[in-house]
Amino acid sequence: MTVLADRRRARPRPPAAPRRRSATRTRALLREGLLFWALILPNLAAIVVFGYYPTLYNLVLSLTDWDFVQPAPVLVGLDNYVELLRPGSVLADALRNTTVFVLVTVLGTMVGGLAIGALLAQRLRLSGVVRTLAFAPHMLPGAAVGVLWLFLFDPSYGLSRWLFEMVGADSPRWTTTSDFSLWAITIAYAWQRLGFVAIIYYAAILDLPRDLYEAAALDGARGWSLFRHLTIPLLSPITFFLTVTGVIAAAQTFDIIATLTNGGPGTSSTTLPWLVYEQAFVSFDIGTSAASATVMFVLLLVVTLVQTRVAHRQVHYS
Amino acid sequence: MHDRTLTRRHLLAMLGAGAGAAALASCSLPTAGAGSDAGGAGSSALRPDMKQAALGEIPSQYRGRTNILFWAPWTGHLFDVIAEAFTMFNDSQTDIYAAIESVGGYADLHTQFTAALQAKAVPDMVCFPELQWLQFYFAGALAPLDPYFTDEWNLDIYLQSYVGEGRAGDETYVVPFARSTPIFYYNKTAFTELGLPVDTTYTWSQLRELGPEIASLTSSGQPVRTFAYSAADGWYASSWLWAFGGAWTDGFDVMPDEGPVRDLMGFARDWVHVDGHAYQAQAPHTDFQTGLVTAVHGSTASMRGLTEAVDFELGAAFMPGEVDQPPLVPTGGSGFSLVRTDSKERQDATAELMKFLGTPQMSGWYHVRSGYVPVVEAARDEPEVRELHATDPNFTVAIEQLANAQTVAPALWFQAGVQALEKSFASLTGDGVEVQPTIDALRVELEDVLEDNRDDLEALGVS
Repeated sequence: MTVLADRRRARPRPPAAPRRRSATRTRALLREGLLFWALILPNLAAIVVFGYYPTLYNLVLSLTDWDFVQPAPVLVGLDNYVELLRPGSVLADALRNTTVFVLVTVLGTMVGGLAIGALLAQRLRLSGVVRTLAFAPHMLPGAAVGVLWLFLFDPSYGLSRWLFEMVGADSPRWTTTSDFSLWAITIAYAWQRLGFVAIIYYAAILDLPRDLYEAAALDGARGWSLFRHLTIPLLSPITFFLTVTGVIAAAQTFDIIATLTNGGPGTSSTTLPWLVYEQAFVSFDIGTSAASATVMFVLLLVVTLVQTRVAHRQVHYS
Repeated sequence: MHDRTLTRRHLLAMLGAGAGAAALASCSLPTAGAGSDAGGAGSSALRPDMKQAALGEIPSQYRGRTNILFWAPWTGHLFDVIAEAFTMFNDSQTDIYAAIESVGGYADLHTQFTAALQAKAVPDMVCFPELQWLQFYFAGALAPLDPYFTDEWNLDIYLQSYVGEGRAGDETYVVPFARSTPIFYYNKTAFTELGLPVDTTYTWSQLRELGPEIASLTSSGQPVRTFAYSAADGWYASSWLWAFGGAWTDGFDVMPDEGPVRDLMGFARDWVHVDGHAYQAQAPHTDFQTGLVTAVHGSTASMRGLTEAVDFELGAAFMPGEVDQPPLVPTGGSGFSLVRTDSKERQDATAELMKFLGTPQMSGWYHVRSGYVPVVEAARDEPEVRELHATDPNFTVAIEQLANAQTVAPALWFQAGVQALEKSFASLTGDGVEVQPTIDALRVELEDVLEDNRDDLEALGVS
């Protein structure tokens, strides 16, 4: 709609339009407006019904005590938030785990994805096969990725045992000890997302303007210097897009946790979405679950706003 | 004249207004429907607002009958068995068609039935594990079964260890069906080869002492372990503590004697982290089948599957004791409940289905194929059951252990309590955490569970 408004402003005003032309213009505007609303209303309705309404309903539920079964929730004000924010609450563990999980998976996949994308863009032999192989994990459902890694991590008959035996060590008990459970879900999730990030970077690198590289080459830029001072800045819109979507997707990860660790042992791999699920569908404490979901929503909103602010300064669109 | 150009600011303003309207709409929370009082004595068995959930396509040979719907909490082999029983019922008469749909497991049923109550589109019959039906009883979702009892079909025909768990307020809301207890499974071939005792009741300490001998065997290049814990041992933990002479709760008093709890938790932690002969497995029964471990515990309902899956001789024994030998074991599994709906005709038809499945023939038939306990006393005299027990004594062990079956402590009637127990033991056997802080944290969680449900529990006579 901004484009629409700009186009209006850019259009030169007619000096003294005759009445007949004014009526024609009004009809054209009306037609354009109707078309606009016809196109946007279905999407708008979907956003309101499936986005705004559940969010606001969740906010209301967070002020209640309800087990999903009793006919009506009981209003308890901010009790659920007070309970969640008290010292020693499981929310603190979930927040810490979520932060570690999101930071490591987003940074890891961005760095790894950029490296792989840059290598693929060199069009070396078999790069087509490598491209397909790299992207394949992204096509798998999260539950399948979880089950696959459950076998790979198995300390008795998994790939992990074989790898660690090669260096004369015992495999860690990845999914059943607190020291490793968070890393187990982190590795599995990063493996799934890495190919997606790599392919996006690969496509973006192929689309970069060649003339800039030629000019930089004439100025003597080579190798890492070229990559550092030209490629990375030119990729900043893609990096921004991948960071925002990566943070949101990682913060919402559920299926891999459900299949690999169930958030345990204890709360060692409990992230915010898993906490929301456990409170809602294991403890049937809907009010507290809704309060946790609201906390998660606000945090994601703040993180995205900060990212947008940073992007205004750091992202170069041309 | 106003500028009617649609700017981003205008659109956002409208979205804001829409959000406000949504907020107002969301304030109209679900309200109590007609007859939404708890299903206690005197309440109507009908709820006009509760319609039948979608049935799916009705096979042509069963059309024109009264259609009833059961949401089954089973998949795979167990679902195939119950589906076959339903076909037998549908073929046995001409008035009722009983449809069966798998909704996954017990947890899925809990979630889906909860959602169904909100949507007011429910099945006619459900099957909740242990005492999870109580939550729905207090929500007024279940109908009493007593009016349907006859001389042939009543509570007296069932194993009495399971009858009490289905009653509230002098009325019956659950009749036993797929009931079970935990049982101890071991690799009889390996035990025999090592000269270890078989066909006996073990104590936990005795099993621990067998560790070095069992570790002399190898599987996949590793020493074989004695026992596999899992991260979801909440149900078994009742038997463990009974064996050590303790109780998780006594009424509203949590862990009235910490001594046995301390002994039990210390034992589990040390067996894993000091001896190394037990461990927390990702999938204990898989490890058992592949020979990585010589003993596990499981439901009696696992017996049929394990018997067919292992390539060694399967041994079954009472759950191990310790201070108490043999110990009490928790009742498990599920029973049928009648849902309060808008149709007396469908409720009558559902009761007919329960009667059919409660005959000695069908109870025996189901026991043989599933491994669940034959909940009807007379089923043990069925020829098929007699033959099974004559050829496979493991099934007899499961029946004999029923004498020790007891309902778990009230804090464990709720999923949150079971989960707290599971997390405690998962941390002990997985991470080797300290015992006392684990007890202290568990105490807080179990007390919260009891306090959150105090009114309901007191209404059931817990004090």
